[in-house]
Amino acid sequence: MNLLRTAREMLEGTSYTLGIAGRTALALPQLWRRRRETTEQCYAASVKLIHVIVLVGAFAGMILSLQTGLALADFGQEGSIGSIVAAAMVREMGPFITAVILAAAVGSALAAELGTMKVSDEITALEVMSIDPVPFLVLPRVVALTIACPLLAIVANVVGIYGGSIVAESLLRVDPLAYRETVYDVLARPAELFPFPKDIYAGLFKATVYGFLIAVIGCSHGLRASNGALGVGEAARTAVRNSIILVLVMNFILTRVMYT
Amino acid sequence: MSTAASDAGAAVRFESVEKQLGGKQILRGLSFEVPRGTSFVIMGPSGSGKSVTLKHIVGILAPDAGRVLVFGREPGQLSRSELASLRSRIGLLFQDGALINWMNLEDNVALPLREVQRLPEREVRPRVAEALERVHLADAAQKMPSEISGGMRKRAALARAIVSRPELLLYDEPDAGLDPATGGSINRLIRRVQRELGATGVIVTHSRSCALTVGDRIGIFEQGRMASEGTAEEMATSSDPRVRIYLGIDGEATTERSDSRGAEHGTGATGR
Repeated sequence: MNLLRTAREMLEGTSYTLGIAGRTALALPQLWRRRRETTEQCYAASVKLIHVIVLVGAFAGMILSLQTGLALADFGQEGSIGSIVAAAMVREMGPFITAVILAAAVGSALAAELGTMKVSDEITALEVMSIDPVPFLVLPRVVALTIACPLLAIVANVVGIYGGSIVAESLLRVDPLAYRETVYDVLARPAELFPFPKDIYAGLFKATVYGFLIAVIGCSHGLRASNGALGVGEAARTAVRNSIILVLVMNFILTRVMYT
Repeated sequence: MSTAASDAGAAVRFESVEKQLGGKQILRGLSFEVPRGTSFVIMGPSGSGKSVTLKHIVGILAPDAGRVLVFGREPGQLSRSELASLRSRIGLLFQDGALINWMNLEDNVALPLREVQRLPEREVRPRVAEALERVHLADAAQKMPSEISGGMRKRAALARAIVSRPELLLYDEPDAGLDPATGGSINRLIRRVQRELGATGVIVTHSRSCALTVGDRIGIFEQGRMASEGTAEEMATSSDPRVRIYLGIDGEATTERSDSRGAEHGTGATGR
């Protein structure tokens, strides 16, 4: 019985979230009216998080470089560290760590913010005034995060590759010029469809999807919050959990579609 | 729209309304009527269906049986745009104000004008200033909701409720959680605003002082029905034990009505 109820709640939650996503898309023509709020949200989601992204991105690149470098050194192949670090960062690590940081720092905040508004009757007040919360609250936040996520992923990619080069040079004695060349080699590989490096746009496309998912999930959990402060905490927790799970699932699907 | 003909009647009319929520019967054949331009106070124990009644009036809830008529129309039966146009004639004051916490008071009050009526800024500003002036908050326009007291938040919420010049104002426990002096000044402010706007009022409250200050008529709810109803004077002198319990009647209660006019300025400062 319990399992049945959980399944029903999951189904209800999913259909509510899909509804929010659809209504957000339909509200897109109103974006110009919400430009101020969207810019503010974008600033809060990107500029205020950049130091975290730089720190985490750099260490991700350094760890990648060290681990693969040590393994490659056994075969005398450490010269190709650059290509591995660059491909891993740009395809996977950059977008993914950005998504995890955004889910934890911004997705939770969105759920808590809208959840607090819900439990203190602010959302109902908007509805009574005939102000639709989706264009008013959800649209600016979703657009902001959909823009911020790929921008932050670029930062994570750049510092990650640079961090990798520092480790390669200082600990593994790899010539920085050779590292840079292998990085360019990998990244310059164009796609079949566009005359544009595939790894870069595929990674950034992933990041854009992650940003959208995290914002929609955060907002929809916030709007469904009930039961006072406890409910707000619950909304924030489940929003982070569900968005990280969904980012992983989506990551696999997108990789499968774009790389095979 | 057929509003012209039906608008002539009561502003709010409940006809044998039944409502069940979460397996519990909340309203059991509730009937009452609020004539235009009058203030109707709803009292009664917690869980007797008072807030649910307000939610029916704004169309957040629809009755299981019976009819709710607001200006002759049934909110639960209207399309989205019809409901929006009906709601534009209604202002609702929430218990905790429900101001948007990341907007200053001026922007909060301007919300219905900017978002619903889409008025140009040059019309929005004077009307917001006038609404804030009415509730004595003109000099707090730039403050955020978190920077002001509970009494000020209620007054700001009242300004937001009246800025679109509604014909019907609903109040959910307007003086709850305030000290008696601040609560009293809110009640007198509500009475004055009601008179100045000529609006119909429906007020849910537990407070005798609020009921006798603001209400023309008072209805006592019990178990989802109207247990007793009468003018404020009748209720204040009623011998019905239920009325006496919820009104907590004693001799001094009626004096609050006599000084209700123009006394806001004196005690207004206590609300800050």
